[in-house]
Amino acid sequence: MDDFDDDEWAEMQEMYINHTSKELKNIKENLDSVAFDSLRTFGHNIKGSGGMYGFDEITTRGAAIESAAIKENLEDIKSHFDALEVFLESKL
Amino acid sequence: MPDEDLPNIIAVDDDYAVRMGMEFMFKKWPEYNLILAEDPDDALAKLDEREYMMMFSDINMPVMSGLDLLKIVKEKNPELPIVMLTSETDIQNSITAFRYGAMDYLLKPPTIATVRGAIDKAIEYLEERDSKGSINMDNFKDMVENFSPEEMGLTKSGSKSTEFTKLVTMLQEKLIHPGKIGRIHNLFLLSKSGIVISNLSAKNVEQTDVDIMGGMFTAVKDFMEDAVSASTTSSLNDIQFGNFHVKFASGAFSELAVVYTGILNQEAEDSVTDTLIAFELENMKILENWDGDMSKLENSIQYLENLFADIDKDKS
Repeated sequence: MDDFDDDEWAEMQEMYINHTSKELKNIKENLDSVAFDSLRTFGHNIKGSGGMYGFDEITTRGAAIESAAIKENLEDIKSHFDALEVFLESKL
Repeated sequence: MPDEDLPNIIAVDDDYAVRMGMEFMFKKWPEYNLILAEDPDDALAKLDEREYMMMFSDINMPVMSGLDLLKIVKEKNPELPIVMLTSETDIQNSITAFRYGAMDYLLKPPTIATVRGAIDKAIEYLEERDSKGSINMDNFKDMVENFSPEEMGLTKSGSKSTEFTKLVTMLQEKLIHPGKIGRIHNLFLLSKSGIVISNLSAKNVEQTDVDIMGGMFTAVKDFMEDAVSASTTSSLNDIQFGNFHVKFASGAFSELAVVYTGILNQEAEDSVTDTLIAFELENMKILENWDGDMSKLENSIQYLENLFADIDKDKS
């Protein structure tokens, strides 16, 4: 059975956390000019990919961001971004 | 640069993290070249550059969706096994993908096991296709219309005629979706007289074939009700054709035929029965005096779609 060993898994997770942190930073810096649809896509994407790298918390947070973006609720989005940032920093 | 001697697999996803995950997986399988595309346009350009063994594609992508890409690629290359990646909430898209001819769909996030499973299924399908050669389908209509359980040896165990074997091969070609991971390949809702009220099938099943098979299924079901022993514990009739089955649920006015491979568990059987009951209850007044007008039963497809979503794969 194919599976990732611990080293491979750690490498994948590190790359994913770095990539997602960079994306989040970028999107937060431009929050005023980013369309809700782009915020929805960001939430949708991390909802789909979080579990791929073993981070169910990111999947849950992604679903919440997607849902808040559909409702165009910027306050909720900001609050989920903050919580996501704390989580990502704890994994760096 | 990809090794020109190895089979190519293309994966299309607008999310860099998913593409990166696929890249990690394929490091485990150096026997394939993984080509990544970040959107459908990129995929179409790359598909023109070389031959591919199969394709993975996300559904939800901006500008052009994975379903549109699937349609275009299937028109150009109907034989290419394509597996769609979708989220749990996109079950309607999964059904559309099945209709457009996708080999199957995988729920996101794809795992090393599900991706490997899909590759193995695609290989199985391609090997089977290459070994089988082309089947002469010209007399399919005659064969189905002249379906006779007695003459084909269905009434005696272990003595199926060559006619039956031929019919099975043809039905397999028409009804079984190659490489499909889920178990449901077709759903037919039939009137008691064999008219197809509604069907959920992949694109490769033509409407004329659907109508012909509706009549045959009714003949099969009638035969089974007369001849099949009561030894089965199932409340539904089930007949095996080669490596697939057709299971029938009978209502007061209609029949539901489920074409499947593998095992249909009790929970799935209950869903089949419940679907038929719910359909008949909602349409009781129309069905009592139905004149064959399909427009009066337009809601029937929704029942089949919901059933497909419910029983195609085991819930885990």
